[in-house]
Amino acid sequence: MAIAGAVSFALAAETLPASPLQRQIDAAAPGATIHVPAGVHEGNLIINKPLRLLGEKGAEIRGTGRGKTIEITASDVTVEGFLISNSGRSLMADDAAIHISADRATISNNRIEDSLHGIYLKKANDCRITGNTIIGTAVASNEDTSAPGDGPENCDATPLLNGPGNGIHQWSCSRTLLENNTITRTRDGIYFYFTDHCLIKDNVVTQVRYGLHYMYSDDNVFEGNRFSENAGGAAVMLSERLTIRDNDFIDNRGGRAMGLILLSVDDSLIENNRIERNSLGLSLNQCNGNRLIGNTIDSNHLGLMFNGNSDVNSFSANSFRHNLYPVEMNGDSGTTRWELAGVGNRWDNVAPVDFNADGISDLPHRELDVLGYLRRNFPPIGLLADSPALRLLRFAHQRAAIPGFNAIQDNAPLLGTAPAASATQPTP
Amino acid sequence: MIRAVDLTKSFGSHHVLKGVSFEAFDGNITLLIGSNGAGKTTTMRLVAGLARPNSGYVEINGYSAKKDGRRYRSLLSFLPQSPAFHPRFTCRQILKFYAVLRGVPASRIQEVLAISGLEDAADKQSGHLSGGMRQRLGLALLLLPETPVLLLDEPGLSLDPEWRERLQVILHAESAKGRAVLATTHLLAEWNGRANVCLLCEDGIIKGTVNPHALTFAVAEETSTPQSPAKPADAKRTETKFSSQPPRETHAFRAILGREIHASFMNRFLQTFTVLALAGGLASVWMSDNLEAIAHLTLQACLYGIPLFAMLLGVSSARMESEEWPMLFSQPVRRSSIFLGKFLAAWGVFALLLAILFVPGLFVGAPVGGTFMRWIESTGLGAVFIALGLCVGVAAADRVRALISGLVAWLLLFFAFDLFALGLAGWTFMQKFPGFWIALLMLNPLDAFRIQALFNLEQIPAETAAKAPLAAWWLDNANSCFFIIAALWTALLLVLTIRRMNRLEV
Repeated sequence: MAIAGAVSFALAAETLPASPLQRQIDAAAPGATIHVPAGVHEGNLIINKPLRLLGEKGAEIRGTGRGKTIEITASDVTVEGFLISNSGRSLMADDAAIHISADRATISNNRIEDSLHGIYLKKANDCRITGNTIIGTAVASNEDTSAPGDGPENCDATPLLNGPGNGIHQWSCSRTLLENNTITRTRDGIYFYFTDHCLIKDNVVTQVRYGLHYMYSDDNVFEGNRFSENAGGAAVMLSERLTIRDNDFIDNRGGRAMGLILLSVDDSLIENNRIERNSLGLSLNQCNGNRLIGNTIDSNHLGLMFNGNSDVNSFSANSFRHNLYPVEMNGDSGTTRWELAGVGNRWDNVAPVDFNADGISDLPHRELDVLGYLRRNFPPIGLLADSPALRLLRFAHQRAAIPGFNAIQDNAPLLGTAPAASATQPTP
Repeated sequence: MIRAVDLTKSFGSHHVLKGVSFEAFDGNITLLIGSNGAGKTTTMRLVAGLARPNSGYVEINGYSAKKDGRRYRSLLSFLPQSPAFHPRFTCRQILKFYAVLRGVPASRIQEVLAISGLEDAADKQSGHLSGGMRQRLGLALLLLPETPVLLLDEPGLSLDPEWRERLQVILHAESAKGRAVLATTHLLAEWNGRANVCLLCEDGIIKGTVNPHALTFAVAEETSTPQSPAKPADAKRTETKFSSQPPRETHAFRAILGREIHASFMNRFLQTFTVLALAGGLASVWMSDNLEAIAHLTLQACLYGIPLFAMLLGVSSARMESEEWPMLFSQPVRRSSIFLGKFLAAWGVFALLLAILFVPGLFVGAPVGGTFMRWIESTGLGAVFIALGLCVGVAAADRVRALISGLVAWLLLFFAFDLFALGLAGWTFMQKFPGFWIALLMLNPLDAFRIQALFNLEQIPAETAAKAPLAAWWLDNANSCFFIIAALWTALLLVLTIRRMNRLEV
């Protein structure tokens, strides 16, 4: 029924008489530049030839409330400087403010409001999405809007009919540049699916469900982005050879919120990220061969969730401090190393024994998971997370290992807050 | 007139009094003599209402120590063997306090200062008085109310010969006015010929009377069997010109409250905490660019420091003047008033000190509502631990034991309880009823406080809520639950302490 409705809406949109701006586009030669003056211009627009569409200050393209406000089906199209609004609301029809299904599109400095998806890229390569502001229609909330039964582990993306869409949605794309975009109040902020070799840089995503919803996408680089105040946080899954560097994953709080979860992510570099004040800071599940270096995982409710099915990862120069509950483990840490080139990580209560004054404790540090499986089977046990009794147990274990508990052992824990002389960050 | 009938008193298997009976009449000085351990002081404590006999009874003018407690105590004035006072109050302040407890006009203070020769030392702190002067201050307090009965336990031990002589003259003058004076002593030679009646106490009984003019001789050979006191049926309440009514309890309570607040400000322990609180407050101003850190530190201080401090404050408040209890408890004031005055004063000063810690946070822009609520919550938590400190302070025999007991109680609530809860959580039954487990956890006021603070930070129960409505209810109402639990704990501890205090024998 819903599908039939969506199709009929699409047909209705196509039968409408072309707007003046559409006629101008249709009349333009390929490669032409159209300067669009200030004022409201009717959508929807279909751009099917290489073209530069530049909006002057105050130029708005307002959709009909059906279908895609701007649909780009040709390569080498630029859309810049517009306020774009009022797309259709059909998730089944991929309605969006800007829908791109061709290569080398440049979408810059636009403001997108009152639309389903913000920018939707479908089988589009070498696109540049920069400086856009996307404001979705969701009510700002830290509550998870996913259906009951969804968990951060499976990151179920069940579409919610007539719900909000994603900020930037990519499916089967490659070499996209996403830079300096601001996304808020959408369903997911940045959505990746089968999209490789992209650079995602300096974007800000706030007040959405998942800041980053990411699957089956390899060889991408995330740098300097900020994912904060989201219901879910950032979920990266089933991907390889990623570089996630200098990003902020902060203030993602809620029943299922996390800073950054990695599920089946292999051979990636996670470096110098700030993962702070989240319900769950960092999670690794079935992740192999990753290097996590110089990250700050501080002041979260649960600092690190580490599943024993992850192997050959390396943690070095990370800070795990002031977390209410530092580490939850499922199994032991196996072949994962907690120091690299003799440089471990910062933890609370590292024994301050440093005879050679190199800023590295001479005693190994053990981080204990006291609550163990109870955290999963009996969630209220989390109420003991910050209990002085548990702190005492952890302290005792750090000084003399208590048998029968899962624990991390860092053989070269760092002391103090500033990098020590010989505790410089190892080169990846 | 004092009438003691068949008083017995045992401490465990040691029978100190085995049936003491005597009468001490108005206008007489009655001396209770005997060797060490004969039971003189125990008899005096029973007569002063500081301890209860196992059997037998004691009356003054027909009023029973057991049944008419306040009225009975209003008829006597007691000078213990080693009178003790708050060391930082002056003689005048001490006399003023007891004058209010007795309902005596302030003009009487100057009179008794003159009688006891303390006019020049009136504004001296009692801690700076010599042993003899402290004894004279006790004498001043003895004479402050015009009661029909004066009780003195080994008076004059610390006095010089001149003042011992003057003490006897004073007592003679008082007995000549028609007051009954009962004193214990083993300084026989000094009292030779000075008393009207002399009772020989030996091996827990009144063995007989002794000629009061032949006290330097072997008294055992000169005893004669005392006359038995009148039967209880014959006892009638009599009023003399010295009969006095106890003052209104509210007046006494106000006096105690005021004195305890005053004493709190002179408490070095509290003064140290004030400095620390002020430093903490100023540090929060210094750190004003990081309000989150302030909030974190404040929470940690509330959770870790404040309960411990409040508990120590309670112990300190309970034990600080424990040496003064014999004198205080012989006043016509309910012990519960004394205790509640201590509690409210300590709690009030504690709340004020917390405000010193919290208020600077308001000035630097910390969320006002949050900070105010944290102050309220911390004050609530403080009430529980002040009550706990007072409870162990009253129950323990001395300050060291009180401190150790308080610390043990604090450790139990702080560590052992949560480990116990952790153990219970592994039990399948508990896992089926998370609401019950949370309720159990929140019975601990520290956990209730921590959980409501934690709940504001995290949303742990999101999944629990769907499965366990009771658990969700607890957590949704964590704030109210905390206050209810704190109030219940405080009330329970106060009731226990008052019951203990009423049974306390000093």
